[in-house]
Amino acid sequence: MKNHLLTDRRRVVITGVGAVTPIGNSMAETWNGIIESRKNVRPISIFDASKFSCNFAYQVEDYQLELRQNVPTGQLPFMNRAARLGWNAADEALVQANIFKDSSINLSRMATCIGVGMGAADLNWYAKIYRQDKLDQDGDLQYYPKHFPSTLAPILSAKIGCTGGNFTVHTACASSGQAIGEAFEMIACGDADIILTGGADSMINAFQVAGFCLLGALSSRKSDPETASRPFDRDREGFVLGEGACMFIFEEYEHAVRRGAKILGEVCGYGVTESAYRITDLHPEGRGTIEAMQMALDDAGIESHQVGYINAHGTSTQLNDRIESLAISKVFPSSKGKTLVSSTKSMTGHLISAAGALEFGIALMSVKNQVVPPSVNLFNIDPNCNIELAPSTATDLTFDYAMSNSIGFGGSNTSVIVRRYIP
Amino acid sequence: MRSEHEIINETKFPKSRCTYAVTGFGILTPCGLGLDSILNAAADFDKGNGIERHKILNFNAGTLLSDRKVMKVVAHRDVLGLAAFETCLKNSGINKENIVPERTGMFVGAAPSSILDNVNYNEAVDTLDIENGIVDEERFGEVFASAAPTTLLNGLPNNVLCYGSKTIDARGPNSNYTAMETSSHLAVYGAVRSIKRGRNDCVIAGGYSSHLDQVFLGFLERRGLGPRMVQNSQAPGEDRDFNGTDPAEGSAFMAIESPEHAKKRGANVLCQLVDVQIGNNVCGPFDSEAIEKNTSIEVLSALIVSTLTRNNLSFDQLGLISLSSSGIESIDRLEQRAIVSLALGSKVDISEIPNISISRLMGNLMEASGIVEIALMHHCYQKGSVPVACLIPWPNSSSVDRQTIKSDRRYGLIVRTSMSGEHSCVLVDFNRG
Repeated sequence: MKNHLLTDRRRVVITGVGAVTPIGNSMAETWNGIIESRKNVRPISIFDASKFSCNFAYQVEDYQLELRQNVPTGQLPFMNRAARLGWNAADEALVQANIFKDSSINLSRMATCIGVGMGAADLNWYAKIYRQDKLDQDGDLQYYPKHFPSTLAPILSAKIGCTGGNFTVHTACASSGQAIGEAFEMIACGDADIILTGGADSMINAFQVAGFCLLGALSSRKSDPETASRPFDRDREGFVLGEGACMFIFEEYEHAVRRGAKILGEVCGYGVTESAYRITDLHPEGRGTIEAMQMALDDAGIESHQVGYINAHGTSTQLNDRIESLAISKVFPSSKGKTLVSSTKSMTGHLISAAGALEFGIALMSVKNQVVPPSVNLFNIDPNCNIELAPSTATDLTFDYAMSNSIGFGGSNTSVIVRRYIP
Repeated sequence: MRSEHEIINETKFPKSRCTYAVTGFGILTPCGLGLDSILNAAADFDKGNGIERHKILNFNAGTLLSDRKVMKVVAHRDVLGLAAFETCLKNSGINKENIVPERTGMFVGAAPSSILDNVNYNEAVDTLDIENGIVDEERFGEVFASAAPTTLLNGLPNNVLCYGSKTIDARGPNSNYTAMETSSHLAVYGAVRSIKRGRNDCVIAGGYSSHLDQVFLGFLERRGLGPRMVQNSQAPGEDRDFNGTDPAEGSAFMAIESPEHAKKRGANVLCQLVDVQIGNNVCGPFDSEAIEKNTSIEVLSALIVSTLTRNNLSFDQLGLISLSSSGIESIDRLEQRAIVSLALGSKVDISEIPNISISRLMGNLMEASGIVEIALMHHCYQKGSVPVACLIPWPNSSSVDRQTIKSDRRYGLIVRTSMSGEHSCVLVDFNRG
């Protein structure tokens, strides 16, 4: 694979990052929450989940949904929970990268590339329209835009005034990992100079929580929600939903230097594959996941032992963690003691389509600050997960590369590598 | 104020000159399966007969899908998508034996999830009390287990990507986009970029759509974007006095390969993709007023100009053009103005270049439309002329526009503008030599 890749590509750096998560209202707050092993899991308050087999989640606080800047009236109807979180995270990233005030930016060379989920699904609204014969135009359809999943990218483009393309990527839990990878490729290939990328999602609603319960994917550890999300633990029995958003400004290196932007890190490798197996199951031998990691390493031009930290997809389901561990151990055979692995879903919950973006953000902060996030809720390491898991507290480490993995329903696998930036 | 051409000349786009072989199509529309069904419908239309519009009727997916069990798990729109995908495989001759799985992938322009995907919960919803519009959610928690275990997957927007990849064991780079009418062009863009990057050498790219439920149609009406709401199957063609789009369901995929891969497996190259470019307006999604007031011709013009100039081509080398012809006046006017003005600037008589579209014939195929137009262009180049039913007149055209394609003009340009604000330009080489 390595020999086929375009070698004369451009360098891509990160000049802005923003996050709105259950443990923080900015990327800095979120990162502090991670290294302090903070968790914000609690009974679901968005709807009455008392009779659901899983009735807890990692929710954001209400104040985090308040829009940081005015949204044009025509676009307000589209601002569901996920879009609000995405808008706020994007605002933080855009301000940090000084996009609004820098008149040197050619907006025709700037794009948006966002990973999204399935859109909101309102049980109240559905029940009403299902039970009546005819739709009332004003009364019934005012909620419709909130159900539309692909409107965040065009709304953000309108906010910025950029015209280089809106890309909305949807590959379930791999969505934002893939959006980030595609943004990297677009800049690397010369199709854009600067891209707002990331993901936003919230599936904490009656229909979608019911859907995950039916699939048997959620933890039902009602007696102890704080420890329910326990990636790579022997007694894990499902994931816990989270919600949030994480956004980045990716920029061509020379472009960033020319305009004096502060560089936070460098994106240097991307791998993407399809398992072509089953819609909800990983291939038993890690097919697809292995190739995505190897492709990212080849793309970055590095050997596996050079990666100091892997933020694993690590959902806390029996199947995912066992097979992802198998895949990591195959791609990183001689990395025992060199490459630490953790899944931060124990602290943030599973942000579904936004998970890849948030976890790439955590990988970025990790390599930037030279600190590996802790393994939280890891009480008994599953002997079937034969990888070097990070200690239970944040650990100082000198390293140059971090990897973030995402694996989605439908078989999509992505791996993205970030390099420490040393001026 | 600077002129459009000044702005266009200032816009710096990198040079690009690569081609990608198109080796097969799979098309499913209200007219039937395959391009021939569209041409037969066009002939009927020209004779003044009514044709099937909007909805795909008499469609037997079971005969087209290699794994019929899939039909029980996924939404109707996904079945349409998979049927076109498998038809494309047959048409191109691509199969598990002549691809490298790790270098083959699907790039899909998917129809988005719908609130109506929750139909499996109907039995549970029937049991709920509703007071002042608020459902008894506690009760729902007790009864939702009556729904099928796979209910959530019904609305997964990457179902076609998943099941299609499994069908052919395509395990290479892939993606899934949602952007309404430009979706399939985004898929083609992703596919071409991935081949150019050296990651894929064989890709199946396309899109699928089924937006005929009253919720979506009502939403469009509320946003001032149509629809005509004439949803009977046998309907007349485009009503040019109506401002609004007219959604139809359909699906279309095409096989794209690196020239080396196509040659190695002895594929029949139907045409070659020269370039794909994506841009957007800044109107925000589904906002008819903003489109009317704020849409700038400059963005689209720059995209079209750069698509030509970075490939060292000029306007007078275009033999066919396909614009959205969505029925939404502001979008259609914008695209026509951009093209006519650029033609004028290049001293090209625009009436010499036929403007074609299938939307007049069967409605707006949304996510599938970008691929169907490429297939239609391929047919037109084969025949050297355009069916009258697919001919869209240029503004202020005093006579019937040209139906035949000039023999020295081998390039076709397809332009799309979506209701969610994206623009796409695809340039195709239909060299008949």
